Amino acid sequence: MNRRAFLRLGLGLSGATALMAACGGTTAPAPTTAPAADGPAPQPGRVDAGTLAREMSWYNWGGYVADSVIDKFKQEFGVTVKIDTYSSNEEMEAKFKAGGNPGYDLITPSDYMVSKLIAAGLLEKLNFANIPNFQYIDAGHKNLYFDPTNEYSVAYNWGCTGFAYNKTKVAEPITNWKQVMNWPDGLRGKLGMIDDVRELLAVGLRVLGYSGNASDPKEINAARDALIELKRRANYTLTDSPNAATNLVAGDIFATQIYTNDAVTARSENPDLVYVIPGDVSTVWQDNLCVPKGAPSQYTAEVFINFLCRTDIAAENANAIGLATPSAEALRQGLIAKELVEDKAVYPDIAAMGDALEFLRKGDPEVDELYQRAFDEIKAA
Amino acid sequence: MIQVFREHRSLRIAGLMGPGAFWLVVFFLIPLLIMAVISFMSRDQFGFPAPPFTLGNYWDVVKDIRFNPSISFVGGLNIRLFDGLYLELFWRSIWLSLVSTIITLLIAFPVALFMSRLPRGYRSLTLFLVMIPFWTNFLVRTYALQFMLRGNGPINTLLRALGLEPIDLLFTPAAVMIGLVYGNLPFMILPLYTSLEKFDWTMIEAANDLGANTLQAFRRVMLPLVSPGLVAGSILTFVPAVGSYITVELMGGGRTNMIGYTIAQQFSASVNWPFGSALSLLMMIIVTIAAVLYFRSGRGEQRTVL
Amino acid sequence: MASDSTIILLGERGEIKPKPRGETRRFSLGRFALVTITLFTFAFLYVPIAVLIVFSFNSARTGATWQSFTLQWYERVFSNARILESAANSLIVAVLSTLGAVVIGTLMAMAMERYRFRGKGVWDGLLYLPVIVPEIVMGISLLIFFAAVNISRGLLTLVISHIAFCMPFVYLTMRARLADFDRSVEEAAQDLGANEWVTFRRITLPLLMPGIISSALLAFTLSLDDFVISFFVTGVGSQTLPVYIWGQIRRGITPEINAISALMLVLSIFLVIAAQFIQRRQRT
Repeated sequence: MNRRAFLRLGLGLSGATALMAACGGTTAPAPTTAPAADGPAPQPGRVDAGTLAREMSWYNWGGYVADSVIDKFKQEFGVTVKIDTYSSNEEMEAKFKAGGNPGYDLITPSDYMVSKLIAAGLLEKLNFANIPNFQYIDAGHKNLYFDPTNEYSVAYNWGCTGFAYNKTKVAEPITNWKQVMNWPDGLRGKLGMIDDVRELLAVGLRVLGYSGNASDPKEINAARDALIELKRRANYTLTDSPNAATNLVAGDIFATQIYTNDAVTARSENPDLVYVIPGDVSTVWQDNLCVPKGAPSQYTAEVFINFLCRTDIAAENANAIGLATPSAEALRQGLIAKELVEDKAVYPDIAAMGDALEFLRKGDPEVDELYQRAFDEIKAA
Repeated sequence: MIQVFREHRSLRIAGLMGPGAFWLVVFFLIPLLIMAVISFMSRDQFGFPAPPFTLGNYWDVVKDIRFNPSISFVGGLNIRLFDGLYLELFWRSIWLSLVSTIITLLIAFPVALFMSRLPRGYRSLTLFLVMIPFWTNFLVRTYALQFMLRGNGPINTLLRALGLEPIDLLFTPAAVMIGLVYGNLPFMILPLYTSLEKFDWTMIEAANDLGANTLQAFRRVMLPLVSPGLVAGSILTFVPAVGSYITVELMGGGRTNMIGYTIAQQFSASVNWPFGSALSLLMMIIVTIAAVLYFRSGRGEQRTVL
Repeated sequence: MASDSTIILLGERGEIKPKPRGETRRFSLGRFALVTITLFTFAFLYVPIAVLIVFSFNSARTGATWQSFTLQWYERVFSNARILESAANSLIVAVLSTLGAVVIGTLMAMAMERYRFRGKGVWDGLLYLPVIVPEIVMGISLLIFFAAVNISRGLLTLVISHIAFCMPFVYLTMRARLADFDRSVEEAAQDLGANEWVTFRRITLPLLMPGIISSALLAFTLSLDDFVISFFVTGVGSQTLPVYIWGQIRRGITPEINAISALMLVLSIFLVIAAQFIQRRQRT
């Protein structure tokens, strides 16, 4: 595992993971194993081995958990976690909507999708008595707009949609989206944007001073026009974020809108790459652990969620997958690789950035239609 | 059992048709009808189908079509009589698929011809050689093609080594075409080969003896006899190409749009199943018409297909 | 890979001899062109595959540049139970649906080619539809259907769906083969006393074989490569490899995925060689 994390990030993380491994045993804050209780209802914080299923299924983003974490859960609790993967929230949603829960115990929807799933009655309320380690999650990642009373979800990972560029190819440092929208003519064809309706239009909206969640057709169309104008001038590519990372490393583009985790990967392969979260409002997102309605073994899923929130496990996981953990305790204990923690682009100071970070709230069909139409027009231009 | 089948013609037909007909109706037609129904529905607060029934989804496709003749020279000569977002998407997709089908045909025909003329033992070997590259994964293959065309990729490295100017290939329409042709080749080569393999070459000889030159013999004798394979191959490459979008997306860098992409978006990023269903049905209708027109033109006598 | 095919084809060149009757003589001018185009086409098909295989040994993660040689991605594949399971699922589904689609599609093509019956035109048209329907529409509509009739999702629904979309490809290829099929050969066999089954096995089947091989290859390839439809109709734990890979793309295509692709290639080739070997032995 240590080696894997090291390789994946291509950074000198081995020291950090060794430290983590060393602390792992002692920092486990909550009781992990408990003798099987005879009573039917499990005691809060104690695991009722008799009620645990032997197997559970997690419908998760690809590559979104460390294999070692799954192995440890198996060792400690005897539960095998089977993982199937998806690559977009809407794919997962469509599957549940069209055919019902095929038998998953745990899913990992992003912020806005949690609210959609709650509204559609597709999520179970969590029994937080089984998830005492929830206390180690940073307060800034609880009670957010999509689950205001925090009954359905537990924060798992979070990150931003920022901007990465090659400092040897782009003349001046880029710190805001305005510079992106004024892309120099000399670098035509060398700019990349993310092929996502809302992420793309949000850049146009924010530069014009609107919210990335604007619902006024006039504002959306103004953003569309600005982005069409940029397309004529800069001829930017529209690809998914990992592909943008590859294009950037290969030198086919010099700069691109990009998600944090892809920027970290790209930077590890080309030290000339700089990753920033532009100050004139960028997108923040958070993926969450939720139990879908009809889950065969909710209790086991909750025990697993609790396990993922355990400080040593949260740290091990975060170091392996290169995303920001919401575990305040893991950060406080210094278990997260320095290279990640000290990088303000990976762990931006949420409090300091304030309104400069914004969730994209999707899910209103009327508004989504406006955005989709604008996006189609940009792509057709 | 066999006896019964032998004696009753209709039973025999039923025996041959039965499994396929069952499969087609139950696992294809019924689901498709569900989709057709959805295309006439409204959407609920989540973008999923809900009553009441409406024609609105179809109206949304055509409502912005305007008569607006224009000529431009962007990417070749462009003559447009009408103007409209989805009309443009449909037109572009069909045009791109048509061009890629023709290019694929021009490459595939000689290859299939060559294969069909090999000694018998080697023929199926070459068939496998055509298919083997496609036993890797589609996405992985497309990424490999992407790499080939990169600024610092093998092609440009070779060009530089030869002292030539490197060319910007990736994220251009040419790259899209390369991607489509690559993916289509086996679906053209195999049906063509199947037809050519049984072609009786003495017919050419006979035609020549009757005074036909090579071109005439090809046109008058060979083409009509291999046209079932030609038509099958063209359909198998043309039709899926219209709906394709991932190749277009990855090779073209998302700089152009295709109808397949917009349809997929309606079922994913912007959830609007009824509109997506309406677009799909329209696409199917348009593709069918285009295919009929394309394949009927010049071969009215073709009875086998369509 | 590229050089292998090159050698085989070059070896072939000398072996295309004009047949005794001399009918190829007038085409000999085109033979050079044929060989050249074929060679270029095979190079076109194989160079990206070679790149893919090379990159499965590359230590860099994004696959944009070459860093250094490593076997770690293969190690990871073999220690990743999910990848191996998905690969096994893919092969099982591909083999079963190829068998199903070839049998059903061939029977249908025979019925359509040999008999006239009511509604024939309708069926002919219907058989093209699956080629035309966008994959995502077929995936979602099949999912709605399976949920409605309460078939639980898994390998079964995968095989059913794959047969449904492979069948038209088989049908079209077989129709092309069956067109102008000389039935007098069959009749001659029956006149000589062969029963219908023997006639089918000894006469019809061998004559159809090139078509069956082509269509089986098409079906196998389509099934092995499909992910849009498969994504919707898989159940818990029955993901196929393309669905697994599709799930990974938000994290980028890793060399690990190149490695499993290369392994699948080798495994498929092995399967086909084995199938051919068995076929040869049966024939002798």
